[in-house]
Amino acid sequence: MSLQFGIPLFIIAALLQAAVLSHLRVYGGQPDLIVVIVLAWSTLDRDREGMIWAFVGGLFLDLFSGAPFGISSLALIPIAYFIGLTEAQVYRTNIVLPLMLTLAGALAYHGLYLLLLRFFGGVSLSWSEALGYVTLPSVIFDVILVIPALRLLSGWYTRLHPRQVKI
Amino acid sequence: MRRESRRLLTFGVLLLLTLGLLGLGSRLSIIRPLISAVTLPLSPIARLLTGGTETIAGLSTPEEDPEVLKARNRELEKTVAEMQVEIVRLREIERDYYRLSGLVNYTTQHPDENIVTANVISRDTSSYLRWIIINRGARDGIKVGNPVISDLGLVGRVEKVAANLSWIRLANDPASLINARTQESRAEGIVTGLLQGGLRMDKIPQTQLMDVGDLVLTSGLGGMFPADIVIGQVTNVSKPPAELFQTAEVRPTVDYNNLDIVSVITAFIPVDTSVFDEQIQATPNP
Repeated sequence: MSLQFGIPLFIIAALLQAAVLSHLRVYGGQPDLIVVIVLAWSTLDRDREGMIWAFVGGLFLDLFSGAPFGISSLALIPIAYFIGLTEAQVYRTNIVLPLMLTLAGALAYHGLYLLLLRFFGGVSLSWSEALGYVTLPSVIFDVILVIPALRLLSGWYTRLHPRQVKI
Repeated sequence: MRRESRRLLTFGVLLLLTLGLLGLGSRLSIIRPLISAVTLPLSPIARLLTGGTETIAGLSTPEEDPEVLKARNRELEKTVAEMQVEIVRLREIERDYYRLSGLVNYTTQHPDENIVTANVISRDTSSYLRWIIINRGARDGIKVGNPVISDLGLVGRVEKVAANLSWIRLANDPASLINARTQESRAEGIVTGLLQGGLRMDKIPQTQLMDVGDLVLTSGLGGMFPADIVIGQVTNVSKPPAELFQTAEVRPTVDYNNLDIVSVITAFIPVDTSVFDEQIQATPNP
């Protein structure tokens, strides 16, 4: 993802997340737009871009949060790294696999975020309460959101990274 | 360099960079001006989006049955009539209070409270935290620790300040702790936020009497908040016989999900607790 496309995308996503999506809470969960974009891009790009945008996206998330600055990046970068380890362009062959990756990625992100929040922010939440009230509704939102996100971003990805064919 | 090695190197560099940012942010607090510089130009857009979302959320209230509305109207009229009687009674008590306080030469000293009014720009992007960002900061005299109120009661406390922005931890944040007492029974405890959005009053001694409907106010102890700011109303009391303390569920008076304008108290006279310090010093060591 190029800078002139990525930065405005994450600015808009962060603004929407802070001002609009935070009003759409079901139980305590809300759609994590930036997390979804990072997970979708990491699914599409198996090189380093997913991790770089995980770093940038996490910083934008933390701009509008009371959490220690950098905590979301720290939670997102390993997820982007591990998604990049999965084999081949799964999205092109099967839609179920990216959904499973998003499910696992979003769950891992929330788990890591809670751990880091406890370690760096001193906020200790009950795991069972957090899981039932916030994590699961958020993850369901994310899995639903990733389908349109993949459709939109895969178009951009193909434009930015055209397939090279040897003649 | 092989692709995997390149990825691993990027992973390591990014992790180190993020850890560096976390360290800078928590130890030196020099990251805030940078955050402010990025966030400030975005704040008018965020404010516009927040306002628009709140308006749409308000419009989307489902229509209700006219009969239900009529019944509710009758109920509200009855409540208003009862409130008016209550107001008259309280005015009488107020007059008595001033008269009696004059008689015993008891002068009430109200602290000079400086107040800064601010607009709420956005809410926390994290689902686990209950924070808001307001469009006033250090340039307006706001400091870390300042209490934040609305017309309905206590909102929270300023936790981070940039030049033109402040980050407020709401009273219903899971990490929020507020010294409180009930208005009627004067039972003291600590109000904490719940992940579900409500409040819980904890550490109330078993000997204290608690009733459903009691108003919960800030006690002012600890000097973090001025005394007697309304926090909420007791909705349920749990008094397990085997426990040292009782707990109470508190319904907040402030709707934390629909905050638009808040006031920051930048100066107040905290409750004087020096008498306890003197007593502690006077107590001989065993």
